[in-house]
Amino acid sequence: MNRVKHIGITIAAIIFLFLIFSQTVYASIDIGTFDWNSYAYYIDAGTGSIIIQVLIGSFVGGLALIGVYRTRVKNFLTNLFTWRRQDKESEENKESGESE
Amino acid sequence: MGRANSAQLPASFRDPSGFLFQQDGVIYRQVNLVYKDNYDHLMDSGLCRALVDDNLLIPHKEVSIESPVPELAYKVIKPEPIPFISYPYEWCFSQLRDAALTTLKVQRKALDFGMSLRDSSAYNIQFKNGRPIFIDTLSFGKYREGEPWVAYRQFCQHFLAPLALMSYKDIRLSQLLGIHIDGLPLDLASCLLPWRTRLRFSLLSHIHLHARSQKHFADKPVNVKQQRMSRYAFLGICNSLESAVKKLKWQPGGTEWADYYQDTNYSPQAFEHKKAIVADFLDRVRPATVWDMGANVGIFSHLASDRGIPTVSFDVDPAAVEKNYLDCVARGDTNILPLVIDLTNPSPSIGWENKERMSLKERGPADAVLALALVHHLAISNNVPLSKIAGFLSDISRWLTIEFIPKTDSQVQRLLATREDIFPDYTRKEFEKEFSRYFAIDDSADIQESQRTLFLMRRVQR
Repeated sequence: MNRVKHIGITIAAIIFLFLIFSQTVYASIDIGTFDWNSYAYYIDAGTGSIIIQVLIGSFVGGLALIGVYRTRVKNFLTNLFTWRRQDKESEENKESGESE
Repeated sequence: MGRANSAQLPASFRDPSGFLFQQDGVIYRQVNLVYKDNYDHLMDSGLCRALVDDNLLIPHKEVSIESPVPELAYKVIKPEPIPFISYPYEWCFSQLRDAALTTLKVQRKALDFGMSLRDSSAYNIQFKNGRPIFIDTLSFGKYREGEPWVAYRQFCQHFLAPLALMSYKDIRLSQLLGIHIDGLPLDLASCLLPWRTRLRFSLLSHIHLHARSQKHFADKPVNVKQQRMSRYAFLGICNSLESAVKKLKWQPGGTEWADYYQDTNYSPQAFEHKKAIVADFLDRVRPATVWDMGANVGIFSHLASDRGIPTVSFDVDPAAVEKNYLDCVARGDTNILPLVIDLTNPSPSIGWENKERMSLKERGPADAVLALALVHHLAISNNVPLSKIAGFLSDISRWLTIEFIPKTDSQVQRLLATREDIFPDYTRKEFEKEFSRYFAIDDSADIQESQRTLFLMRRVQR
C-alpha cells in the first residue's frame, strides 16, 4: 500500500515540476506582445542589445532555475528515500516486537 | 521656457521626466508631470526610503519653490548636494567597479519594489563620503512582467566594457570614456579585448556576442516591442552582469602594493618635518575644501582628511589612485576622493555644446591646494614655464601650499639625467618672482635634512 502511495507522489511531483519548468522556460523565450510605453524609455535600448539580452537571459535564467529545482528535486528524493527507510525500519521493529 | 533655460543645468536635458536647475546657488530637480506615476510609485512603495537607508540613493526633500517651467512641473525636489562632481574617466579601476556594483544593487532593490532602472549611465553615480551613490532620482520606471532591461546596452557600454579593457588590456583605456560619452562602443571593446576573453562566458556573451548582435540587427527591421523576457531571465541578466563585474580584477603588473611608492629621497625625519609643516599650514588656513595635486597615494591628503576637510586627491598614475582609494575604503575615510587627473591635460568640458561635463577648472576653485613635489615634474619633465604653473594654480586655489625642489636635489637631478638642461630659470628666486604675480607669500619653511622649501601662499586679486 505504502509503495503505491510513494509511486503516486513521485509521479505527481514529476508532472508538477515539468509543468513549472516548461511554463517558465517557455515564458523566458516567448515572443509575446509586451507593450513598450513610448516616453517611459527615453534611451535607445538597441535592437541587437534587446535580442541578445533575451537570449542570454533565457540561458542564464534557465540555468538558475535548474540550479534551484535540482536542489529541490534532490531534497525531495532524499526525503522520500529517508521516509521509506524509516517506514521499513519501523515495520521491522514492530515485527520483532511482536515476535518477542 | 526662457526662464528655465537660464537656470537649467546643461548636464540634464535628455530625460523628459525632469531636469536639474540651480537657484540661488542651490541645485534642485524638477519632476515633470509625465513622470508623476513613476515618482509616486518610487515614494509610496517604500523603494526610495529603502535605497536611502542603504546609502544607495541620494536623499532628497520635496520643496515648494517656484518651478522654472511650471506648466510641466509635478514637483520640485532638493537632493542633498555632492561636494565634488567627478566623472567615470577620472575614476580608478575599483571606483568604476564599485560604481557598477552599486548600479546593480540599485536595480535589484528596484525590482523588489516593482520598479526597474530606465538608464544605467555611469554619470548617474557620484562619490559621496568616499562611496558611490546613485544620484538620478528620476531613473526609476515601473517594472512590467515580460519587459527586458532597457538599460542593458548602456550598462555594458558604461561599465562592463571599460572594466574588461582596463583589466585585460591596459588600465589607461579608461580614458576612452572621456571620448565616448555614452560608453564604449561594444564593437570597439570587442576588437580591443584579447581573444582569451571569449573563453569567459560573461564576456563572450555580454561583450563579444552583444557586439555581433548589435552589428547584425543594426539594419534589420525587427519589432523589438514584442520581445519578452521572464522575471527569472531578467534576474539572470542582473546576476550574470554582477558576477562578470566581480570577477574583473586589476593590479599593477608585478608590483607589491606594500612597496608601491616608497621612492623618496629624504629621510624619515625630513618626511615627518614636511608633514608637520603642511599640517601647520592647514591649521592656520582652515580651508573648507582641499585639492591635493599630484597626491600620489594620498599621504598628505590624509592630513587634510584627518581635520575633517573634504579633500580631492589627484594623481596621474592610476596605480597610485587605486591604492589611495582602496586604502580610504579600508580605513573608512569618508573625506578623501582620489581621482586620476593628468595636470598637463586636465579634464576638459565635454558633451553637448561642451557643457554636459565640467572641466576641472569649472569645478574649482578649491579653498586650498597642496602642490607637493609637483612643480619640478611640470617644469622639467613637461616643459611648463613657472609663470604658467603659477597662473594655473591661481585659477584653482585661494590658498596654496607648494613645495619648491631645487636642481641640486637628487630627484630633480634624475629628471635632468636623460635630457638637456634647458631650464636656466628653474631657480628659487625665479619661482618666488613668478608666483608673486598671482600670490602673496605668507610663509615659507625649509624642510629639515633636505634642500626643499614649503611655501604658504594666498591668492591676490588681479
